Amino acid sequence: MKKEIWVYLETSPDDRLSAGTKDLLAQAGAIAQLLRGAVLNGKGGSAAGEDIGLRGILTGAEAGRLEDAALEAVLYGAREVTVIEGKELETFSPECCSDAFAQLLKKTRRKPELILFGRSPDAMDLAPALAARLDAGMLSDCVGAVPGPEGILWERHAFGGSAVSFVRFREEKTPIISVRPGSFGGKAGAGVPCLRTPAEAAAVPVTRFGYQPDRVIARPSLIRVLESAREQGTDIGSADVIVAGGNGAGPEGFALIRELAGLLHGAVGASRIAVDKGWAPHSQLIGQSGKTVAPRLYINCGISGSVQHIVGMRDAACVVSVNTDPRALIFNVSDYGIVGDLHRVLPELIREIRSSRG
Amino acid sequence: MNIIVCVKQTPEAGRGELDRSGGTVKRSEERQVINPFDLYAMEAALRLQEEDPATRIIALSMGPRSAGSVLRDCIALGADTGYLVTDPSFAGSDVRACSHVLARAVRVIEKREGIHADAVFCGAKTIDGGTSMLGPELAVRLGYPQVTYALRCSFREGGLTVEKEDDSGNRIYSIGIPCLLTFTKASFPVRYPVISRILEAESMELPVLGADDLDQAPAASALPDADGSLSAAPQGGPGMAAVPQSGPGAAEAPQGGPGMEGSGDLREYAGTRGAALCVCDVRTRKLDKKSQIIESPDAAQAVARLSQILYSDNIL
Repeated sequence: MKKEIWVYLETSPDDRLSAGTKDLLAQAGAIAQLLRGAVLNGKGGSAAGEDIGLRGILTGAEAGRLEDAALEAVLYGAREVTVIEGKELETFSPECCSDAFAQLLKKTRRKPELILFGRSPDAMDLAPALAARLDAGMLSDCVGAVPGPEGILWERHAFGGSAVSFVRFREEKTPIISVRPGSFGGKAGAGVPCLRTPAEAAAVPVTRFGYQPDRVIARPSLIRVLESAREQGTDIGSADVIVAGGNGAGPEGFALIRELAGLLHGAVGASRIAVDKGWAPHSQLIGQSGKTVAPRLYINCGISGSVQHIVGMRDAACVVSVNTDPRALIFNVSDYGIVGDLHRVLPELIREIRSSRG
Repeated sequence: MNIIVCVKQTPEAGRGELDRSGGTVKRSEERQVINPFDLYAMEAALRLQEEDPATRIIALSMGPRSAGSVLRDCIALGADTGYLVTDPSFAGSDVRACSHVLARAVRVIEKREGIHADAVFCGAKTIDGGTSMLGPELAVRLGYPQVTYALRCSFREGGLTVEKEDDSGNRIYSIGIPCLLTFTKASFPVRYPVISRILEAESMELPVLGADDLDQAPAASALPDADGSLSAAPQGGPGMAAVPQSGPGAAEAPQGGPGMEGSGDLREYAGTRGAALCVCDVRTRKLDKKSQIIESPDAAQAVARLSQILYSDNIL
């Protein structure tokens, strides 16, 4: 049987592949490259010289509605796609989804080398639930890997990013790994190149797997979704551009920050102090107790740069900082800095961008 | 309603001092506090107790003996009692092992207290390991439905109503009991303990569960569908002896366990490679880039220079 890495595919409300999933496929491709010729685990499993393909796994109530997403997955690097179809999968729940995954593994008697997940809220629920169902080992928020003589060492940060740990799986059981956006060469939110032509993609088989729970599975039921709290319709986890504010911003500063974020089709982020003062919701918190982001451009205003904040944004490709204090720690981790008052700098920046766009 | 709240002792700053030679955490020198996210879980339980004074709150922690202090913190806040799960064989447990142990501990507590746990509350993540995995794994092992990253909850007919944080709009769920919820920071503040309760908690005798106590529990482990061919699960005993041998090794910072202790072979590996667990200052790692400070007395000029750079580098 061909060696495979399984990748959990997520769709947006319009049944297309989510942006984060496209990034994950690119990351999974990089991981497959790494596994080629490497020792996999402490039991001496090896994929030396073997070709490892990606199998995308989609879940939903009707496989027909997921045809476009399956095709997209192939365009973005999946070699094959399996659609798990079942009426319990109409809305996501970690309870049913993990059960469906376990059933697929059991009935098809497959043993992928790895099962990879992204870091969306659904994936963060599903991956550990599946790990427990399979009683498999799991590593969350993996940021890298190095081949070792006794198996691949997977890298993750701990203690709020102040320590790095390398972890090796000791057994042959399929490990479950969730991958941090932006790691393994994947660029969060950036356009990932199509790897195949549509004609090639159409020739790839998409397998359907019918899921039926063999017992009653208790799960919560969604009553309603509250008014969206997010700004500019962009989630900071997958945003290409983030404009963030801190203690120096104040409510007026955040109005400017939102305006700039809107102009750049980006998301709004905030430091702990800004969230505590109520200028931004907790869902926009970047840092140790909030989200970890890796946008292409991170513009921050009035953020001094505590360690707790830095661990949440240090993977941003380009960091631009605006701060009145020339000794602010944030300047140590920035590409460009403007020492100045954000209330004067931001209006200029907004004007500049508007005028350059005519 | 009986609520078991799982709490973990974490280093105060969320960054333990690491011992380079051994790849372990020097925990003794750190001031240990209750993981902040666990306080949100505790607060949610206390709010339910306010709604229904018949609600019983039992705190549960796994860790070294010193973890008893976080249980006393919970009792000072209003928990009725606190169970400490501790055993030398639990040292270095990863999330998988911890979730096995805690699931079993829940069953033992139910038996000892003569109750059914209606809900298990956890913090959504810890500030040391930060995996967010313990809650979901524990829920599956207990066979409970779950909602993670909850902000608040209240009673409803036959269960709870839960608000889950979601960037695309918070979601309201109805969940039956028993269930497991993990909590994140809500908009309301967490309370402070009352002095009289602190003193009471100090003198309270706390029940301690060791590996033997858990062994005697009925084999009520979850994983109803563990399949031998796929998972070859060491489902024999209560799992503890076998479990630390697998899973992502002991170097994975555990939740509920006594810390980030590198396993023997990882330490060996550290010897050959330089570092398996390495201390690194976030400011020096990958971050030796120093701002190019755009100096200008005038904001407009500085911005003009910045946007020129950003446009020419195709960043904007």
